[in-house]
Amino acid sequence: MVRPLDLGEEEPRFDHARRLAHLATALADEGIAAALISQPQDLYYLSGTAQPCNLLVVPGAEPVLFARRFADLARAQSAVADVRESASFADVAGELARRGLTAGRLGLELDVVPAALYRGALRAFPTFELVDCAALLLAQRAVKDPQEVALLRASASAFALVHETLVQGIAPGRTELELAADVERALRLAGHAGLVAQRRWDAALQPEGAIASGPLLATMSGGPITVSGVGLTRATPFGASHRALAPGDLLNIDLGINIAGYHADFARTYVLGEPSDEVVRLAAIVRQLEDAVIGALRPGVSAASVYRLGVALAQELGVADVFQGHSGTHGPYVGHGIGLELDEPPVLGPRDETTLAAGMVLAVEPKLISPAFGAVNLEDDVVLTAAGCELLGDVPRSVFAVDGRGSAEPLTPDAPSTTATPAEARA
Amino acid sequence: MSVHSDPRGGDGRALPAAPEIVCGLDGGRLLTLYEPVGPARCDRCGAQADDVCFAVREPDGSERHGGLCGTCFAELLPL
Repeated sequence: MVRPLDLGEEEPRFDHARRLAHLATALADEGIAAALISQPQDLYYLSGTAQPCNLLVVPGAEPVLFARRFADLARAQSAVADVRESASFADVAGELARRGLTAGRLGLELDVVPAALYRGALRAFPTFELVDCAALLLAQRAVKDPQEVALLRASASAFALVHETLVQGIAPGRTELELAADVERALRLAGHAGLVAQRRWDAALQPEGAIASGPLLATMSGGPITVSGVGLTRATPFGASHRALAPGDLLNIDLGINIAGYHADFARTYVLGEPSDEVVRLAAIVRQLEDAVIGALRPGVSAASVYRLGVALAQELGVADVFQGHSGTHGPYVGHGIGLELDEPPVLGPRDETTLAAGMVLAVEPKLISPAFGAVNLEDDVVLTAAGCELLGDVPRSVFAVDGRGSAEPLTPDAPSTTATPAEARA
Repeated sequence: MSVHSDPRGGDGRALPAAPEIVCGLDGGRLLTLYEPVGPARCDRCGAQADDVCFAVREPDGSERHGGLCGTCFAELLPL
């Protein structure tokens, strides 16, 4: 069954003036004279258009949008008043000079700008020091405004379609690819853009995400996803394969759902037929891990400390060796930000000391992976509030036993079995 | 300020103090994650646990400490 999502207005409206002013202040605070933004999601966030443009942001001055192509569309879509048709850095340098800026620090998104573009910028702005401004912008993007949270909630609600489709579709003899096609069709008709934006050059993900089953669950392949699947051929070594399901198999889906540019990120594990005692035990453990991490999320807590809680609990529960991976392939995280891209800061990992703040929207994803059993995985999305966090989406947080005839039973109760709080909030 | 060992190479990053986090476990037990200082020893090698430290308090009030040192943390979860 396919249900279209009601997003209200056809095109979301955001306060771009506030976003541009926020970035300008951050640039000034860092001693950056100007920033030139060109990455599509950053452009959309700041200007309202994802047409190919270079956006010049100068503290204390009006921004200028240089449309590299399709200037009429950029002009019609953008909240920036001054839109010019130009793909030339020389025009940007001219505008900087016109404003009296002939030297200083010029911010670029150096985490993603291609090397050729960077070399072009070196030639075009020889008196400027090119510096990375991506971290400033990503820190700003990490705290969502209410309109963004509403869109992420819409994306998260679409995961119910995925769950429904898999419960109906999982049966002996059906292949991962057939299930992937079922999920993609349901999601696309519900408004999933079919594209998953990732801020890296070496990663891609199918519209239906990564579907994997049986022994393929423990084979990490081809990209940054831990339960990746192996894909159809060596050329695309992740996602669904031609493997057919058999009774007793585990099947996992981990996907991004892009509604109006905003990505939900969910994962579930299903068992075809009667679950073994070991699967029931692992399902209870992964639920306990997710409850603990979600319970610890609140403003003021560091991202790294939430990760360490996950590790400590995994150690205490005797599953540290298979927590987030196995045999040297452990993923050092238990969650991450989501938004205009599937993986955004902060990362709930050991290197990220970001203090969590209200308005951040995070995916929490504890998982147990081993060749001995495959993978048992939960991933859910939450928005941080002043008091803690609120779950987005409404699919029960459980591994499901599927009977192959369209029915499913959760293996863990929906009531949280574990809660975690900062000690000061306990009093 | 406390000093973590760096699981990537042990260069001693200075990190701000993280708040303790308390987590309820089955059977009325409480797991407390605390700053990597104090009595905890690494569950794997017995060295000072200087990366992940936690205490588990049983319903009868007894308490034991667990944790991981930077070396074992890095081996367990290569970064």
